[in-house]
Amino acid sequence: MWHIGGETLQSRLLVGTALYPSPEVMLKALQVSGTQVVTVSLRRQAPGARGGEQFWGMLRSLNVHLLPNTAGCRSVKEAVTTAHMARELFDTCWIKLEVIGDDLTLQPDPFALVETAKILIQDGFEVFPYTTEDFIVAQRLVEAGCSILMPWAAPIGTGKGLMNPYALKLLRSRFPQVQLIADAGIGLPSHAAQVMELGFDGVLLNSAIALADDPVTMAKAFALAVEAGACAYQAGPMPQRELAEPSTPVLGTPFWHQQPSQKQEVFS
Amino acid sequence: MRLLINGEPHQIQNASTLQQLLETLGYEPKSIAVAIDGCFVPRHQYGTFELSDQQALDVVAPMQGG
Repeated sequence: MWHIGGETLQSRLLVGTALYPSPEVMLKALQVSGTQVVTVSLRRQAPGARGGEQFWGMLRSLNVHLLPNTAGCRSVKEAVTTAHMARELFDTCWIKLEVIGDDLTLQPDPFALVETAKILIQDGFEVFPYTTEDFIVAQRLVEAGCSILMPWAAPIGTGKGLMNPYALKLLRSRFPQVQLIADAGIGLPSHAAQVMELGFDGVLLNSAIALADDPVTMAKAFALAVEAGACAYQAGPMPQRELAEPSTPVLGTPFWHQQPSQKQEVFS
Repeated sequence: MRLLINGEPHQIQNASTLQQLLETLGYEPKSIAVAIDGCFVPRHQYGTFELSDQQALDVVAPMQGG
């Protein structure tokens, strides 16, 4: 059990709703994942179209918390306006704040991100900022009032896993009170477990499940991996050593410290 | 009145407020959110928001996202 954005949750896996082969597969994968938070977005709706209403109906059937994003925003003004539209439409003050600074890497613009976060927090939002692993940017976001940070593991959609585990570990040690959620770049359940073993509070992913050959089975794998990683962190891993250390006690084992010369001394 | 709605030019008649426009175009207000010239317009202002020539509207609905 953990607490985030004023809610108490069981699952530490947050899952996106995009890229699934069909709405039915999406629904099944989300259910199997056990997630209690799903990310959603906004798009322009043509007059008379009803696509948004159908998706909205599916979301309601899941009975999960919605985390709208500001995907596609590239300026403070775009992100602020999108956040306000999302709050009204989804009836939540939660916002996954994305302010993209580069189209190829989809790397967040840290300057616009911090500025937008300040504005949205003043406007009453619970900001989930999608950021890099940079410690100083994280510090500025926390100073701006963020109690949640969502550093990337790797660029969105790459599935490369933890590119900079050192920096992610540093964030954990320097911000013990902040809720840390790894967002983007997770490709395998082992990546999710690794993040949780670092002491992160949660993992947010989409493509790794949606683009799997079997999204439903992969959703189960991620649910297990996140739980395993969280348990491992709670259990406290053993310290690493540079040299081997036998796990079987050597005292009393056959031939222990027995040299040929000893045998000769005994029988001489 | 000429309006840009989701990037497409429209010639609008018989609608002076945002609410009238949305009804004319067949939008269900509870299923959408609106920004005009990049600024959010809350739903409770639709009835009193007077439209002007050459404004740009973004009308959005829920969609899948990561």
